[in-house]
Parts: sequence; C-alpha cells; structure tokens
Amino acid sequence: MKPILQVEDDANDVILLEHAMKSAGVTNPIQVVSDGRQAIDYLQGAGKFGDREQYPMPCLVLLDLKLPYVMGLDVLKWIRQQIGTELVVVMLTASAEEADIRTAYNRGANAFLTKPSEASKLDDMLRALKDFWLTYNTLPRESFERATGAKSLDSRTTLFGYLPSRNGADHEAPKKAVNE
Amino acid sequence: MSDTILLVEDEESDVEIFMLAAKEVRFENPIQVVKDGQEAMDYFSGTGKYFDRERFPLPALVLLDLKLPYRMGMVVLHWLRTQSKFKSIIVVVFTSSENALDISKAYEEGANAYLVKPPTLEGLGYLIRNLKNFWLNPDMRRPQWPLENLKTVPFVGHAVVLKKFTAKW
Repeated sequence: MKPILQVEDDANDVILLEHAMKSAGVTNPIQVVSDGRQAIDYLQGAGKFGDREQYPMPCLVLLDLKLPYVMGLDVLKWIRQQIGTELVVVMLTASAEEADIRTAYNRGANAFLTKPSEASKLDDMLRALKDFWLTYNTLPRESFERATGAKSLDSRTTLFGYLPSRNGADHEAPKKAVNE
Repeated sequence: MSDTILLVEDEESDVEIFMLAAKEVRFENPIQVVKDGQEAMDYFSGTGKYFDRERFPLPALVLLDLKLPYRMGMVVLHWLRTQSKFKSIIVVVFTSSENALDISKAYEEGANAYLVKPPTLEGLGYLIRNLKNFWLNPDMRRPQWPLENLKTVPFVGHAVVLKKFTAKW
C-alpha cells in the first residue's frame, strides 16, 4: 500500500493528524517530512530517501503552507513541473489568505483545506478525504492496472450498467450467457 | 447561502438518477444542470439566460461529464483553465469513461479530480454524500468570486480555443 506523505513542521500537528488518520480508518503508512526541502528530496528519491522500498512514492501529499527552507506553494510548483499532474496534492494548513488559496489552485493543488480546531471535525474531514482520494478518485495508472487485471476489480469501478446486488455480497460480474 | 453545485450532463436519465440519489441521501444544496458544453460556458460567463448571478451563482463544485454535445467536456475544462477568473474553480470530471488517456488528459488540463460514475443508485448516493463531506466541508477553501466583477466576462476566443485544442489531437 502506497504511503501518504505528510509535509508538516509542527510536531504537535503531526501527532494530532496521525491520531485522526487512525480514527478515520486510514490504513496507509504515513511518511512525515518536516520541511519543503525534505519533501522535494523524498519525492525525487534523493539523499537518505534513495531507497524506494523504504520510501515509496506516495499516493497523496498533504502539504502545509508555511514550511522551513522551501515554502509549501513552491513545493507544489516543483511537483507540478517535475512530477506532473498525476500526484494528488492537498494543501492542509492552519490558516490561509485569499491570495494563497488562489495561487495554490492556480499552481495545480487538487484541494485546499484548513485544519479544524476540534478533534471530531478533524476526524470527519480526514474520513471524507480518505473516501474521496483513496476510494473514489481515479488516477490513470489505477485505470491501466484495472484494465490489465494487475489489480483485482472492485465493484464500484466496473463498467457502468452492471448492477451488483444491493446487499453488497455479490461482487462478481454476472456470467455471460453462451449461445452458440 | 448554500453552495451550488453545477452538473454538466447531457444524458437526461443520468441527471434523473443523480437527482434521485441526491434526494435519497438528503443532499440539500442547490444543483444546477446544464446539458452541453456551450451551455456550461454560457453559465460560467453569465451570458444569455444565465445573466442573473443570484439565480445562477458560480458553483462551489463542477461535475463535468466528458462526452457532451457541441463542445466536449475536455474543451470546457481547457477553456475554464485559460480564463483567469475561472482558473481556480473546482472541476471534478464525472464520467463513465475509464480510458487511461481520458484520465491523463483531464489531469493535464487541470481537473481537480476524476470520478467514474458508480454503477448503482446506492453507490451514487454514497458518492454524493462524500462530495458533500469533502468538497463542501466548512474547512474547504475556495477562491471567493467578487460578484460585481463577474457581470461582464469577455466571451471571445472560443473558436481559437477549440482550434488549438483540436489541433493537439
């Protein structure tokens, strides 16, 4: 399972988020880096992040705005220029100015969230985030893997028109009648 | 005022199913529907019958089908991303296509996300609830639209955009 890369310099927020992710049922490993330079090193597999088995490419980046060395919006710019448009980047920050929000979307952020102060709201947000990005959203590679059978089919993404039974027990497509 | 979502969908039956699923999960935000790419562009620009921004507000979230009459969904997306005013509007592709090229192209053109239509009404209901919880979350941040500046968006360059776009294919 691909990890989630969390780019966050505040140690308290790291702990809070880790806890909330668990509550929300996120089972992906979480990799944490604490500044923008490390985020870029991680993503290009430089320095201590050279081992891709230990530091695999993430399925999702949670990116803070205010970071040491390289700011979040510059990390985002680097990602879109160097990695491309297929890595999901969600900005997650304590507060935001209108200009930051606009710049983030213009630079290709997939979404922009502010951290709620209440723990229960943070849990709900992360549950929604998990469901949207890790279950519903489709990336080109996933589609390719499905088409070639590299990954097992799940009922949600089979072709439109096939109706699995409502109790959810039947996850197999109905067998085609063979008339020869 | 409750956030509006804009559904760009030409298949009447798909619109009906969407409305039904939304009702079942008690999705109460206003849903505006436009039936083709041209109408979508008119809606954003506030031209013709979409002049009244109070009745037809800019949406918090656009669900965009790719296979549309007159102008394909991809052209609408490309057009939105070349307009400085709409560059940062949230567009989620919502289609039955699982073609890897469509998916890659959509992200390249600046889609925020790509959803394949769920095969069941129940599945669609869950998805709509999730859209509400994620994209319409009170802590989701979107650029604000100054209303007074939006009355007259220059509506030129369609032909140019279309030509440029089709030339790439």
